[in-house]
Amino acid sequence: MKENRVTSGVDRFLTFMLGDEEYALGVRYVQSIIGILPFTSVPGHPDYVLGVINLRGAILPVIDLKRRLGMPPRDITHESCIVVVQVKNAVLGLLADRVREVVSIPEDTVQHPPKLGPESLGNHVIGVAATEAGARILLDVEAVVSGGLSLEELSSQ
Amino acid sequence: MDVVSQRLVSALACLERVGGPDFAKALPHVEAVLAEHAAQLSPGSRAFLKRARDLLAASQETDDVDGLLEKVVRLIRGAAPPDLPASQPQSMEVPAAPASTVSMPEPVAVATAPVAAPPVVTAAAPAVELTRAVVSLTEADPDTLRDFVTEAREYVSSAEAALLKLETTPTDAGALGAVFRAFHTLKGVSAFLGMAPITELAHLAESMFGRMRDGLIVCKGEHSELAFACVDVLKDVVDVVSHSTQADHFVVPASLPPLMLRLEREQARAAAMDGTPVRVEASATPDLPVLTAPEVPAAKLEAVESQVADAPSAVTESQPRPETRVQPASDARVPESTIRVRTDRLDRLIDMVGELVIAQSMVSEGHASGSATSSQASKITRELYDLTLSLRMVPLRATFQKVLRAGRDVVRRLGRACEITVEGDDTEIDRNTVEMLADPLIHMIRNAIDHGVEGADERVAQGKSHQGKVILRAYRTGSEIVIELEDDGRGIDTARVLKKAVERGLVASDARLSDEAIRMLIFEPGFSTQEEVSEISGRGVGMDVVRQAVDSLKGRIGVHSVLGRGTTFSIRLPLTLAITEGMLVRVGAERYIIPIANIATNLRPESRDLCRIAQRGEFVRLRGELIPVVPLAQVFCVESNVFEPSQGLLVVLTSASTRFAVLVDELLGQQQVVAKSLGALSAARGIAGGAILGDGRVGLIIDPEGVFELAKSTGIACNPRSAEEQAA
Repeated sequence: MKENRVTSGVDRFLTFMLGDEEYALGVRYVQSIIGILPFTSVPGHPDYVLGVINLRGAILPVIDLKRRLGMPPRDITHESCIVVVQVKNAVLGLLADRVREVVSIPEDTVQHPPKLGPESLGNHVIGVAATEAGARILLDVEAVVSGGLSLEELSSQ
Repeated sequence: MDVVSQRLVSALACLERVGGPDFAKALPHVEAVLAEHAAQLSPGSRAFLKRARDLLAASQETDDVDGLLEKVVRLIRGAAPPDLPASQPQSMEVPAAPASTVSMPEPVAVATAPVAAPPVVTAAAPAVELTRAVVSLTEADPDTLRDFVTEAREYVSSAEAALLKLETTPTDAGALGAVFRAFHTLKGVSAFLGMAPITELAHLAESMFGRMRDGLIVCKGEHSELAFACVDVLKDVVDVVSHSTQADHFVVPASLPPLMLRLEREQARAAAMDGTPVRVEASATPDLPVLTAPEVPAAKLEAVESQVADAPSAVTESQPRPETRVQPASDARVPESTIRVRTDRLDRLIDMVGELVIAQSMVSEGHASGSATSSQASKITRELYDLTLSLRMVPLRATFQKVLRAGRDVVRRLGRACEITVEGDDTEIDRNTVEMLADPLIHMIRNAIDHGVEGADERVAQGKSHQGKVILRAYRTGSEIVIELEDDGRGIDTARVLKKAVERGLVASDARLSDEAIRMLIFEPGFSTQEEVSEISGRGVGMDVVRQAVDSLKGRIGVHSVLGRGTTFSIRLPLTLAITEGMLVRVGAERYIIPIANIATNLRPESRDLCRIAQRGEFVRLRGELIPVVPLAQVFCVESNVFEPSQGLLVVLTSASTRFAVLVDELLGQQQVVAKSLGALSAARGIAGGAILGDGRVGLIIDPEGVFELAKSTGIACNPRSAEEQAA
């Protein structure tokens, strides 16, 4: 998926809505975008782990991004979808309210926020890109995914 | 023509068979040059071989065939520069073979006509192996090494099987031929990869088996021991290679040099008896710290390089490879596991997939009526399912052979008269299971022979045949594989087992147990130690370990015994670990799968059988036993409107350490599921994995052990023993 990197200064991002905000994550992590499938909840995990779904015969854990980022959960609508991402060896689904578009964001338009406290949103965010369409929050997928799920453990599978 | 050129010819001959325009073009020239110069190829031309190989390997990447060709030719011409010191190892007398000091070697087994040699040499080795070996031209390629290890293990195993057969019929021509062929092929393949120690060993062994085959010696007594030693040492060497990164650079196991000595002495003796002159050479005297293994002419090349350090455990090849190569990090060398699949199964699989494609296109083109296509599709699916499962299945033969071998060794060591027979070793079982079975079975057969089968005198006194009998048997029933180990020995003395168990505090002194229950006590951890058990019945040595192994394979172990008549252990295993036979249960809105192997019974308890102990949770009394009740809804934090065991259903589970009952809302039925990992969530406690259910949703498979641990740690349930203490 390296070829998605156009030049060193510009990365391509998939943008999606979480609540009223527009978020973005690197296209190179994205495997596919699927509709909502029935969840099976798995006991013993933080509440942002929605459960597992059957993705064409493989079991895929799904994370509710809003809860992960400390936002109030919203009901699943017909626009909700699951963004399937691969981070290192782990494949996970991220629940988003609505997927918008794939955009190129030049690195120099990204403003890096100051790190706030631990467990704050700031730790999951690379920066904020100001574009004509408005501000887009760039997510640090690895940080989002690794919280609560040890990536070291994942890579062993 | 020396060994090196012979090898080169055979290598080139098989290169030619492999083809590729480059090789085909290069080969006639190479061979012509080779034929011309064969006589000049000196024993020191090993380095040449390597370089030639490297060059040929490089040809796969270059377009400059002619330039390459020229290089090869130049190389071969210069293979034996006149100034190369001819290796003149000092002649040395082998102590045990007085007649071995005769002069010039006469390489008996080596063909002498250079040009005629290739077909002779290569014909004996199966084309497949040689083809495979050619790939190794890119040396130290992990794939090649892995293939070699797989193949070598197969040869070693087939040789061992044949040797075991020779135990009973020492002159069996088929078995002798099989051993000979196995070592012969190993010799060829290892030589091609430049694994000198293996080549030498295989060569010496091959010569010995050749003499056996020709009826000069009989595979009995000392020779039989030597033959088995060859197999064992080869196993060691192959193990070392399997952990090594370079074909010709690995640490030779400590067991190799002594065996080489024994084999050489044997060869020298045989030659002395035969009247064939043999000279044994060594490049160093034994009292020097660095010692080159003495050798026979045909193997001298390799032996020169196999230098034995003073500590026999640290023997390494002295010649490092000239080029630098990327050494994979040691931990990166995780062997990728491979499996051999019968081609007819693979063909069938491809056929079925083809059918599936047709069915799919019929649907998409709208040719077929719905029901016909769907029934066709379901037929294909069922067959595909069975086929894919069968790909993982391997026969038990290899495992049984290991067990048989271990049994034979015990029989030898104890000098017992005991006949071991194997039945049903073609029964197929999941590959993962088969690998974990060997150790428990070896343990059991040792026990059976060591402690179960009586000495000949005792047997005769009891009116039995003086020779003991042990049968290792496998067969399939329904969805289970049954493996039985039967002996006609003493049997298990239940009275003494019970006495011991009481002494050990495993059961109460006033406990009333059936004979069967008493026999099962031998599987309890800490039942007894070796000495004590051999006094009682000869059973129980680590039988808890055996049970653990069987448990981990989702199997069950049982024992049947008649005092004085014998004992039969039976292990029942699921056909495959990938498929779990499960009971689908509902808890609130959730469904879980409980592995059937763990389910003892289901019951809807009467309220008088239930008791709640403060701070200790709830218990159910089942046939006099107090069993903790674990409400699944509570453990997994699921909403359910069943709170009382009398409203729902109790499923009594047995895990390795305990028995407990889970409370569920209802049973939904029995189902075979394909167990899958939960991916990133695999660390979930109490959950062994997931499976796709009939409706396409994911169901979670319960790990009974984990559930109970979870219940204990959250204070929902506890062990019955501590509850009893509390009640008292």
